[in-house]
Amino acid sequence: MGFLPKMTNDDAVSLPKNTLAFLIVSHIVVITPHISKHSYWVISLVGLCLVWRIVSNMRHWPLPGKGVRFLLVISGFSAVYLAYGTVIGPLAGVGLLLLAYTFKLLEAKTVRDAHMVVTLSYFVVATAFLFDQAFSKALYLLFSCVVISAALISINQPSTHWKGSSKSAFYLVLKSLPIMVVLFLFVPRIEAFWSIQFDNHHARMGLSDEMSPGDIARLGENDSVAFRAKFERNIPLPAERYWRALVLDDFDGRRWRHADRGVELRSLSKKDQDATKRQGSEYNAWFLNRRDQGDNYFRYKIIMEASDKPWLFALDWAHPLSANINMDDGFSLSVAKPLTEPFVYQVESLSSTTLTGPPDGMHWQYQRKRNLKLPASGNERSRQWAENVRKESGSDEAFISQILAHFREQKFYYTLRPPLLGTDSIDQFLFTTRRGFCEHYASTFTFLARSVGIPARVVVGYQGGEQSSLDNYLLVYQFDAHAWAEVWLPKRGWVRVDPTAAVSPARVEKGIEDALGDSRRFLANSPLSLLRYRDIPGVRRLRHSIDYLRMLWIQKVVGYNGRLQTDLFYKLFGSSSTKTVMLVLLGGLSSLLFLIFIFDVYSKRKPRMPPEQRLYLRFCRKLSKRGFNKGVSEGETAFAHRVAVNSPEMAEGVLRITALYVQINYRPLDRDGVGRKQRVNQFRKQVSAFSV
Amino acid sequence: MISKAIEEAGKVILGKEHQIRLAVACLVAKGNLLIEDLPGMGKTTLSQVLAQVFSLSYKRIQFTSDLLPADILGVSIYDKDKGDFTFKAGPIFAQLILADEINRASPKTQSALLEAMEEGQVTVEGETRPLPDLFFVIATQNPSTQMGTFPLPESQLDRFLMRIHLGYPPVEAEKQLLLGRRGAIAAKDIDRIVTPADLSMLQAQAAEVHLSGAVVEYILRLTHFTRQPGRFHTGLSPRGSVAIARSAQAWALIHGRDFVLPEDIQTVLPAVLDHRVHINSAQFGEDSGKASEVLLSRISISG
Repeated sequence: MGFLPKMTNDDAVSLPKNTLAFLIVSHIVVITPHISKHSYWVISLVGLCLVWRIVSNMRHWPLPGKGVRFLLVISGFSAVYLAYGTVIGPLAGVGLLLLAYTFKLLEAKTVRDAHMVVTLSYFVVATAFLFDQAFSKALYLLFSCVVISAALISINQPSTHWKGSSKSAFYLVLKSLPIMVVLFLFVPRIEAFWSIQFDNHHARMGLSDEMSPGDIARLGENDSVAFRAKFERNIPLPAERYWRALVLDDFDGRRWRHADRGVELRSLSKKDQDATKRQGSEYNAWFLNRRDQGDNYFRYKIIMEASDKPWLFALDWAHPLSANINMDDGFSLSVAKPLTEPFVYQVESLSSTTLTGPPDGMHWQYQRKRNLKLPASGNERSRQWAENVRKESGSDEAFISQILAHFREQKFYYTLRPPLLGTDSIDQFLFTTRRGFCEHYASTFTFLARSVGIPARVVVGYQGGEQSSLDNYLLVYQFDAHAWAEVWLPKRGWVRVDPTAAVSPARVEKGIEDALGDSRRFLANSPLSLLRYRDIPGVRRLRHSIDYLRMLWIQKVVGYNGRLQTDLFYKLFGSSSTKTVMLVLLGGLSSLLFLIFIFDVYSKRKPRMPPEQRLYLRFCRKLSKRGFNKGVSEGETAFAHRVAVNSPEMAEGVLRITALYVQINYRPLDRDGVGRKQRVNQFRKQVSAFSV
Repeated sequence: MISKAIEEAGKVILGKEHQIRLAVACLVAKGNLLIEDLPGMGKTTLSQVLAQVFSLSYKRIQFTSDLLPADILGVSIYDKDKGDFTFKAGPIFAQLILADEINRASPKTQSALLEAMEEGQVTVEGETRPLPDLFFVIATQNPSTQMGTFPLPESQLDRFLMRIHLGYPPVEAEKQLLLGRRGAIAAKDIDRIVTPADLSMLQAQAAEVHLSGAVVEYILRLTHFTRQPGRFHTGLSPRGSVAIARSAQAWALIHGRDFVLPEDIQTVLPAVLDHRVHINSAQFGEDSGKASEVLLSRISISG
């Protein structure tokens, strides 16, 4: 029946060269972000197949036969199994997807295969978001979409030049952006589905829950942002910026650890167990009471980078406003799971200027025991010395100021590269080396306090932060990591003591780079870090702008969750019922598609007028105010002469402008070397200056 | 040079400067000219003047109903002394031909001339002979309403680049004419201004005159309008649109410009268009005038 088109014809057509090149390029583009995330086994298999395909195409080798392909599939599964120990789960799944995608490209022969490869490309692009949701990644993935779409266009229009396909693909992606925004904002968010945990191969730098000498100094080299704090009103002074992360209260003679609360809790009496349960509500009551009595407090939002740790950061004494945040008996905040992606939360903190902690009633006997505990032996000289100082000073307060005075007056140094310490590290530091970073001072001070019976502990966190020049927020970097001590005094509760501040007041007042004094030492291992050039004002602003964008991205896009979506629905439409969601989605999408359709029709119908034409029309509108209307078929020069004859006072300007227009529109281009663009600009100026 | 030539021609043909300019433009554009008017309006004089001013060899062919193609092209005559046939060239082997009253001859004779015009060569008795490089035909035609005429078909009219009307002279010019030959100059008395070599150069320059994109768009809009169904009996042929461009280029050149303005097109349009297309008066009304008038009032110059 001759009139029926042969539908299957298209599928059997073999691939044009152009299309194959496009597929290979888009494969490289799509695979690139995965390279660092996957094991070498998988990546090298992918690279091998890609090279194979390119070479076989150049040398006109036949495509791999059934046996080879079977072998490849087997080796693919083996590679994934070797790399991840499993073939299921998200990471292994993505690895298999990558291999399947590559194998399909290797055997692609027909237009149908090419369509398949393109579909897989889009899918692989989406999986890159499982690992990293950074702004730069999003931009890169949009770029990937342009490349893939260009490949798709070239499959269907093989004769189009690659520039043409790329251009159409770019516009296609551009037009789809509004649709993407609507889908992003209004498609119901299913939270549980995406909360897949990835075991990250690259442990992130950051604080850990134990501290031995040198640990924090290592962070001093790291210039990545740990978190940002956006304050509602005023920002605390530099000396008040102590960001508590975790208390370390278990000392084994060398290393400080966060004591295991679970073991401790089981050994407690019934009464103490009840007390621990009351602790949270007592603290809250105390906090609210102080706040309502008019104590100074800050309210702020922390925008955190992924840390792979569950704990959060806050100024003392904190009270979380966001849901699902826990507080332990060290007054530090945490969430249930390690944070594998950026996290945003809101906190209130009482200003800590009084240096007075929560009431002493909240320090129970079992805690007292924990905060006095020292190894049975070791560092004998330090213990002895502390004993003597305590006897001389007469009171706990006097003892503390005595120790700090000792650090201040004797030759102690604050340095990122302290000498290594042996077994009796406290003795060695206190009497021999006297060079240390914050953890040395905090650890030594806490040890001394405990040895004379003052409950004390080490607190790790960050100290400082740089105010952004763009908005009311502080940037806290990894090198701001800090350790200080906390002692418990009757009637005053927990009091912060920072021995580092005694040695190097600049560390607390100005920040680490000033305290170290030697800017060549600071960030010496990262010569490209923008922070090294912080004295140049433009660089500083650039760095802040980049971080500002990143913060907005984390807050508005990555942090956009179901709750915010519900809020948005209420704010815009007054309801978040299923019906509203459906209506908004349907309405939004259909009106967008309609707008795009209108835009397409309009832009095809009416080619854009060249600038000189628009300017000339503007000139004509000006003249029509004086009653001179140019006839549709009246020549420009003829019109100018008519105007000139009828109102001689305008003759000069009208003739000059018309002559320029004639020059642009009718004269050959290479007349006097003046570029067309310059002439158009000149024309624009003259038309603007012209008035009737 | 050109303006001097036009001035010189104006000394003989009084008060017809525009028509002289059009005729010169037609010559510079390598086209052929059709003058349509009543007898005694100075058609012959115009062609004589042009031949004189441009230093061209001149032949006049008076078309009559019994004129045969051989009378134009020439014949081979048996030469008794040589014992062979020798070709006796007809009047067409000249640089400027005046084909007077072309519509009085039979169609066969007409087409002999028109084919020669088109191809630049003639074939007589199986032998092809080229015409001069500079070859310019001015045909005159009486209005077809007169008796004893064979009107040229539209396809033949298309071969003339322009058609002009001379019209009655202005009062002042006619007064001088009546006052006798005193002061007025006969065609053969005026100076030769332009040499044939100069004319060839001018023709080459005219083809180089810049047609900007905007001007080409304008010509295309004009052409497109004539091709819309129902408006005109027939649309403008591609030869017609090329004719507009070439005429405008020549017009711009003789006015001292090396680029074409829309005004150039508008000026030459009546001469180029009106013998090629005829408006459908059912569409535009009885008193709608000529095709060029409709186009000039309706088609906008820019977009």
